[in-house]
Amino acid sequence: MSELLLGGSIDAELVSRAQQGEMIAFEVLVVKYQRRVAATIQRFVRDDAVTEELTQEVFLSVFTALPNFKPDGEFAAWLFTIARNAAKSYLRSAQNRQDDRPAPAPDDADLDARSGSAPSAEEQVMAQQLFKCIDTEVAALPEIQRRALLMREIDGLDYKTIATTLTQPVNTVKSHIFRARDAIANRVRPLLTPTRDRRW
Amino acid sequence: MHESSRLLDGELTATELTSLLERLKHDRALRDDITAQQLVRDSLAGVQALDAGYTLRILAALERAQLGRP
Repeated sequence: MSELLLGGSIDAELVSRAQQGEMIAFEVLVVKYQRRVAATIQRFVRDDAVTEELTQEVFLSVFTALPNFKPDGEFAAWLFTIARNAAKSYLRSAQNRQDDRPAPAPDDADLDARSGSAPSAEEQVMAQQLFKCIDTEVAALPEIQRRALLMREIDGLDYKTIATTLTQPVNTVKSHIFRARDAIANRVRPLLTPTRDRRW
Repeated sequence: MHESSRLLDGELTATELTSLLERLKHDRALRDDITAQQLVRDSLAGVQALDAGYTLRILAALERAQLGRP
């Protein structure tokens, strides 16, 4: 009998392996969710430096709490709850600090702290190029690939529903989506910033 | 084939996942591919932000925490 695909339980499997000390499994979860966790926090705090600091704290908290996570729970829901709570907690303590003392004028140290992670003008231009490249590549896909990809990534439909809508076999739909993603990723990869001695 | 996409979509078996995770430990091209694939997915879902070393800094913080360093 052939082995089953992990499907929706892929995160639970990665968590389970991380719980057993397989760090690379947790790294995949960080790569998969860090941007969306940061976006969730950013919506609350609207500050790049604080967003990065809280995002790091969230993943540290999650990593520390991994032994208590039950594999039958949904990892993403747990993660985003922790992210929202961290942002709300930050806002509460920021409010308390404001209540306790007059708000100081921004000083050099404050500006320096923020400049550490705020995107530079160069990074912003790169980001614009990169996201424009993605849009261009999506537009250049064969129509069937583009429709399947957008149904999956924007509408969040499962393969079976997409297959029914496009009147194509499920495996054909998967193939369209994988090829579309590969085509776009191949164009995007050279635009990513290389970082020396990186792990990711 | 298409293994980064399959990983992020859960279209792997447990055995395939074991093999992929093992390769990820030393295959930079595979890690780059997963990073690019996730960026595309996030972008299409409306989360358009560059990584700008974010992942590296999170993982460095995790490593420091594991080693008990501040």
